[in-house]
Amino acid sequence: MRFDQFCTLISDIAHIPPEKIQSNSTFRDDLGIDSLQMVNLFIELSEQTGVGFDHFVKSEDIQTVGGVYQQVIYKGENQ
Amino acid sequence: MSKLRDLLFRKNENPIVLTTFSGDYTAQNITNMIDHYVELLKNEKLAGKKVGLLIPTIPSYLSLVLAINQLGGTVVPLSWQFRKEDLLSVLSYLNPHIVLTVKEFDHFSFADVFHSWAKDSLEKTVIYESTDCKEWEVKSYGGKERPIETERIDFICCSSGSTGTPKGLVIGAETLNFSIQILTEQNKIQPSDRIFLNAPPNAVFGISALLTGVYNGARVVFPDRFDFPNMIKLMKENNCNKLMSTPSIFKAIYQVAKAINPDVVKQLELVSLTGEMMTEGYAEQFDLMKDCAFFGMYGTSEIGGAMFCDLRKKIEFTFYNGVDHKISDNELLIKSPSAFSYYYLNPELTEAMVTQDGWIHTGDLVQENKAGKFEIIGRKKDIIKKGGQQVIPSEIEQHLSRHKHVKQAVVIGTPHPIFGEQIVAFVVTEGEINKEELFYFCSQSIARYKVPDVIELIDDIPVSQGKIDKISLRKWYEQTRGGVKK
Repeated sequence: MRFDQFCTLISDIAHIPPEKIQSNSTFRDDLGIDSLQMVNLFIELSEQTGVGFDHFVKSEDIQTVGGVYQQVIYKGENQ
Repeated sequence: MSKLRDLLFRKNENPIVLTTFSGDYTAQNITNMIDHYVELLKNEKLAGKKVGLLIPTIPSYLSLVLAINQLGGTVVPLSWQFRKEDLLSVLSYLNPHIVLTVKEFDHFSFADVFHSWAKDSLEKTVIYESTDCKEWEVKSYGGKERPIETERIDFICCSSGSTGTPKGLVIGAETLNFSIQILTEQNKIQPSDRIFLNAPPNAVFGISALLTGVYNGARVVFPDRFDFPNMIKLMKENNCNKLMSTPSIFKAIYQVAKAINPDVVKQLELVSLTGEMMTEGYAEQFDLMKDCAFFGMYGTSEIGGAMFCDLRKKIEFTFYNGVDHKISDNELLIKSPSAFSYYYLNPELTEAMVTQDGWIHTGDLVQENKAGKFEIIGRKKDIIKKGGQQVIPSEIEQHLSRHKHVKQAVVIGTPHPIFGEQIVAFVVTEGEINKEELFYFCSQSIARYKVPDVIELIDDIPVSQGKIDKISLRKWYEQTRGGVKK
C-alpha cells in the first residue's frame, strides 16, 4: 500500500480532509482523533490492511500517521 | 448543609486516594490543595454564585470542587471536549459569575472563548486562567451584576438538551452522598481497592465515582488523558483490581490490554459499567476474565444510580435499597434520594420530567418479570449513547441545519462495535456541498464526540403521518449499509 492510499483510507474512516493528513501529523493534536476513535481506526485499518490490531497498539510510534504507516509496511513485507 | 469535605475526609488516616498520570495524591495532599484554593477564592464571596470549572487536571479539579463547595458556591463543571459553539451555548445558559479554566487544552484555547464571552456579556465576571493550576492570572470584567442564587445549589451538571439549549441538572451534596453509598455497596469498595475509573469527571457519575473512592479511603486511579496504551500502563503500575467505566470504553481497554499486557485485565475482580445499553452476553466476550464479576448500573446521571444487573446473567435489573419505582404505560418512573432536584431555569422541562410528588420519568420502557426483576424493552426518549456520552439528535440536526447548503437534517443512532452507538446524519442539501465539507463544518464547532460518524446525502426526508419517519431511515440504513459501518 502506498502512503497516499493509506492517507485516503484514514480520511475515509475518520472523515478528515486528505490534505490535512501528513506523515508527521499526530492523530490527537493535529487530526483531533481521540483515543476511543483511535481504537476504532486501528480496528478498521486492521480489517482493511490485514495487519493485526495488536501490531498497531504495540508499535513504538502510534502517535503519528507515518508511525502507523510504518507498521503496515513492516507487516506487509514480513507476512 | 454539611460540606462535602467533612463527609469525605472524616478519618484520621492518610491513604493515597488518587493516582493520575502526574502521580499519587494522599488525602492530606488533597486537603492541602483544597485549603490553597479556599485561600485563593475566599474574597470572591461565593455564596449564591456559580463557578464554572474547566480543569482537566483531576487533583486540581477535585480540590476546586471541594473548595467551592466549602465556600458555599455552586460548582458548574464544564467539559474540555466542548468546542466554541457548545461551550458558548452552555455559558449563555448558566451565566457563571466566575470561571476557573486552563488556558488551553488539546490545542484549543478555552481562555480565549471565556474572555470573549465575558467581554460581550457586559456583566460582571471574573476569569481565573492558568497553565498549571498553581499560578493563576485573574481578569475582572465590569458591568451589570449577574443574579445571585437565592437558595443553595451545590452543583449544576450540564448536558445537551433536545431543544438545542443545554439542560442543567441541579444536584445537592446530600444526593451525592446517597450516590456514594450506592456505588460503595455496588462495588463492594474496601480501603485496599485500587479502582480504575474512566468517566467524564464533569458528569454526575464521574463526580460521584471519584468521591466514592475518597470517601472509602480507596485509591482511585484516574487517567487524566484519554490514551489507551498509557492507561493500560497506569492500571499495571497500580495493580488495579476494580474498574468503573462505560461498556464501549471498557471493550476498547480490553482489546488494547489483550494486545500489550493481558495481565492487567486478568487481575480485575469486578467491573461496573454504565452509560450505554448492554446486550445479553456482553461479559462473555472477555475470554481472559472468566472469574471477574461484571455489573451494569442504570440511571447514574439524572437519578444518581437506580438499579443494577449481573452482566454474567440475563440483562434484568434489581433496584438498590432506598430507590422507589413504579411503572406507568410501560414507562419506568423512579423516586430516589440520589436523584437530581430539577432542571436549572427550566420549569417546563422539570414539569415534563418530574411529577409534583417527585417521580422522575426515565423515558425507558420496562417489563417486570416473574422473578421481580426488570427488563428494559425500549426507549421513549430520542437519545444516542456514544462512547458513554449522551448525544441529543436534535442538537446535531440544528447544528447541521446552520450550514448554508443544508436544507434539512435528521439524525439517528445505530449500533457500533466500538462506540456502542454511532451518529448517522441524513442530510438534504441545496447547492454544491459534499459530505467531507459537512464533517469538517461539524468538527470545527462542536465537541468531537458529537460529530456524525456517517453522513448520508438524500433527496428527501421520509415523512409518515406528518412526522419525520426515523423508523424508515433506520431500516434503510440497516438494509443498505449493514447497520454498522458506512
